Amino acid sequence: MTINLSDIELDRLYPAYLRVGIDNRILSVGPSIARLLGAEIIGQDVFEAFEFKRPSRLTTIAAIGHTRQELLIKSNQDPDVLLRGIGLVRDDQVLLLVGHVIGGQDEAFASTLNFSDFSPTDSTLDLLLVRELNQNLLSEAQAISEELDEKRLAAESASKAKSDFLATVSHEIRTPLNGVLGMANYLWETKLNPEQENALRILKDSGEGLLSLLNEVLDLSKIEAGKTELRNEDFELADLVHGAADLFEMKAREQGLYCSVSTAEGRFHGDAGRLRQVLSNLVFNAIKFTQSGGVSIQVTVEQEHDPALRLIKFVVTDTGIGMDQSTLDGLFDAFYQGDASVTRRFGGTGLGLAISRQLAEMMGGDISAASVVGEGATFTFYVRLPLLPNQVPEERTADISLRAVDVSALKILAAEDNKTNQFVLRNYLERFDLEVTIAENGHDVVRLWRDGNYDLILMDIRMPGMGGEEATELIRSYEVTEQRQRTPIIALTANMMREQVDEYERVGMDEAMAKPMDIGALENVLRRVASGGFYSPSVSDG
Amino acid sequence: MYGMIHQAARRMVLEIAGEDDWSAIVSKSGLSERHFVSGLSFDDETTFALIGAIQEHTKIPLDELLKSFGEYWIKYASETSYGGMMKMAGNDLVSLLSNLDRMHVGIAAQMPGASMPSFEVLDASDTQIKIRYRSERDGLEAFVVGLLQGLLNRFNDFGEIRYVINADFSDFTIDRSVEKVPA
Repeated sequence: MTINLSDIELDRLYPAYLRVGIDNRILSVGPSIARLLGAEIIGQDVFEAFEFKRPSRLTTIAAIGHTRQELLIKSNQDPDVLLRGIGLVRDDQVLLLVGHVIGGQDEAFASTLNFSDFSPTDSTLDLLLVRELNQNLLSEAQAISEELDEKRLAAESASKAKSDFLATVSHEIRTPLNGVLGMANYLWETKLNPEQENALRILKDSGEGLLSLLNEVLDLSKIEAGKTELRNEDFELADLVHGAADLFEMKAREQGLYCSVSTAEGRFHGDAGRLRQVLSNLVFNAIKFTQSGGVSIQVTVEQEHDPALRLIKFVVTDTGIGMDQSTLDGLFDAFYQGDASVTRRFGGTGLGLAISRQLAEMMGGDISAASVVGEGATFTFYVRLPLLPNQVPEERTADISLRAVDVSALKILAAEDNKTNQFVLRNYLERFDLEVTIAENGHDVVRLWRDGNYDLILMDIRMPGMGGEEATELIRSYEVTEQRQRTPIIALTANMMREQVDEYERVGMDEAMAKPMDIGALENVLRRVASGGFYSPSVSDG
Repeated sequence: MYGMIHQAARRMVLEIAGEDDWSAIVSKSGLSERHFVSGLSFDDETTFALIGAIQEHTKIPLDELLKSFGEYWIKYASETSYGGMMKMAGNDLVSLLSNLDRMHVGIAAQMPGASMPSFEVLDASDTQIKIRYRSERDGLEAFVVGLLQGLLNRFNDFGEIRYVINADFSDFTIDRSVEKVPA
């Protein structure tokens, strides 16, 4: 069957066609070529007007009849018109039935094309539309991305402002709270009648409650702002578990409860402090809500797919009052504490479990609870941590032996500019028959340290003139240049956010103790210094 | 419908009413930020909820609102990144109307599931253009009037638009002899 097309039909079906004579002269073109390259192209040599990319060795247009290759030609004048199709030899003419190819040209060329440049049977136009739509979508995605970036920056800025505000408020509250609790502890040691004793107990409990709330709000806000970084240290799992349990054993005994511990062993690499925090929180809650029976702690270690990792599962079970489903549902939300009567009866901030959940998730784990009203509760949390190769267990008698260490010969230098805190500090240290030399600024600390022979420096951070960090750096440098023995320096500060503590350690402090000062923590430091737990103190040298 | 329609509606309300009115409308419609991503497809109820909220808030009669929105859609498409596509579709009213279906096919290739209306130019002369409109959606003739008006505006053309609704299609007529009276 032969189909003859009129020129009008050819124009519609192949708007970019070229008709070429056997002398290579262009005889006529479709409307698209005429529009894009101009009517002047008619009469030109086709090999001058176009570069033949395929077939590339063609020298006469008539030879196109001998090739079965697809035709690909590009205009030698602007704009860059790229055409693809076939060549048909008919009598003394060659018909190049070609259509536009999109690709390689610049954007400006694509924008010169319109619908009439394409054959109705050619879906290149659809590709062009898709490309246009894709460009739109990419532009939109970029705009959304920029908007999100702006929002993120604004949120980060707001979060930083919140953290700065909390850090400032924390310091401003902790400093007077140190005085309140210090004085309360001081009075506790004096002779009191029952009425005064009761009032003082309420004062102490309220102060400690406020301190606890302050710590937890700070902690949670930091975690939620993504500012909490986990520490990586080696620790012995059994030590961690027994240490946490020991803290509560006496309290459990006071309430007539048993406290049983069963734990796997092994050395792990992770944030032992945060693990202890979560476990302590669960054990503390278990004891708080249990009136008879007791609390059991069970810790197991399971193999993970990754041979370097282990799943450590902590299960804390109590025989306490239990919870209904609605309480369980909101248990790990911030400030959630079951019904109001529970809050009134048992107290607490309602932040501990929210913090625990966030920490468990940060450590690649999770936390959950199961309970039946009146039958107690079981809390399970797990984390994934790297297991370290077996090592010879270290002596684990240090804590026990510490209790027997005499601290009364220690020489203590304390930097503290606040008069109330000076009083509290003196009072605390007097309980260990210790005298303390007080310096009110960093310059005095450095001067006194150089002239004296101190076993321990308790260092305030914010002081007039020279602060605690600068003083520490100076002391550490003098120790090197003057070849002096290293003196333990403990930061004593209300600024206990993690990055602040990291900074204290960076400048050379050994540890940090929070204000208001905990007498147990102070005692622990004193005994460790006296026993050589930090470095060899002068007292042990005799 | 696709989020691009919602985008256009948002821009129209912001232009004619302002940020406060838009906040009230979007809150009433129940739409969220993701409904304004142009390449995402939503069921028609979502779009109708938005149009309904605009109508309820502005108290503009629905037909009038749809007409305004149709007219605005052409302005929006021309002025935003869809302008290139509109330009390719034709440099005069009849060419563009004739190419609308082809444009919709190209768009549908990128937006699966999009239900595009069809516009067939039945007859075109210097004085009159007859167009057959088909759509899977009912009741949007006022919107089409707005679209045609928007296209007339695009080419600085004048005309009066009328239509007849039939069972499976609606026939629109643009009488081009009617010249716009200068304001």
